[in-house]
Amino acid sequence: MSRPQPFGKHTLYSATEKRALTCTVECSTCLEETRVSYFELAALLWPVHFHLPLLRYHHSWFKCPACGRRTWLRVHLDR
Amino acid sequence: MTLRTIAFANQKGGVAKTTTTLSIGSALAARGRSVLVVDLDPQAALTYSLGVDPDAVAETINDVLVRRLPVEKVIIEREVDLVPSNIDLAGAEAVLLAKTGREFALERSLRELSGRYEYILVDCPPSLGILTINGLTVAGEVVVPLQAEALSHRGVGQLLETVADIRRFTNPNLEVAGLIPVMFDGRTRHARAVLADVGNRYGVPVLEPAVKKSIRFAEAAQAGRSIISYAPGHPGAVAYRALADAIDEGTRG
Repeated sequence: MSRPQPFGKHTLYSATEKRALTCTVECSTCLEETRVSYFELAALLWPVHFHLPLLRYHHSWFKCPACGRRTWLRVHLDR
Repeated sequence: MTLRTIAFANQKGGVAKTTTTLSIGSALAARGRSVLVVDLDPQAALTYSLGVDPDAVAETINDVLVRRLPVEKVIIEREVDLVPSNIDLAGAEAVLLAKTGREFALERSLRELSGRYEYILVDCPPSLGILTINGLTVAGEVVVPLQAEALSHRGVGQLLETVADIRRFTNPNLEVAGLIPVMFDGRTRHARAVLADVGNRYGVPVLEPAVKKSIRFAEAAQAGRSIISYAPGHPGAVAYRALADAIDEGTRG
């Protein structure tokens, strides 16, 4: 069953576009925020990735879905 | 250095949002605080009020939000530091609406200033669009300048609904610091009644003292200064200093 489309004032919020099993990835290089499925996220993490939680805001190093570069990114599971 | 980010919002126009943002910012700076004011309104009244010609500014908050220009490159030093705006910002709404994470554009930009300021004050536009949502998403607190008249009721109710949406979607920590009665005419029973009713109806604190209407505010803006530096002994400056003292000395939560 598809999720109802956001309506009226709620169309202002990209958070309402969140679908099940998706998250957003914020890139420190191109500064874009991109919604990806968990499957796409796994593909972006392959074959190598690093994580430095608490040490930096963009704490994960893998491939950005927007610019295609391997760089520091932050995954927002709640967006 | 602890940062407090305060948004000044009310979707009703002409209720002294800009005057309140600048006056409280300037009063906080006079207390020795490092203050940045962000003009998030395409009408650029805050930019103009600090003596900057919006049409002559090369790069503004629009470039920060749309082109991702580092925010420190657009800061102009005045009695308080300013992130300026101009009419180009009107187009930012359309650009941002196509982006994922559009509510966080201002938050991403201001993150670069971490540790540089004690206060960031955001002057929101008189609407409940994506720019105001950005202002409320980056803020820890929202202050609502309120003109004590009957139509103000609807405005406060709609703004508080937006605050509830913001808490739900983007910023669960947003608090309503209170209403500031502005352009207040305490001689009328109507103004006093409206103020008491709005405070009770919505359960929002009313910050005091009320700020009375005066032509001195317009004169200060024309001179490119805040009322705090333009007419420090004026009752309006005294009121805003007292409000700034309360904000600075107040504890959150």
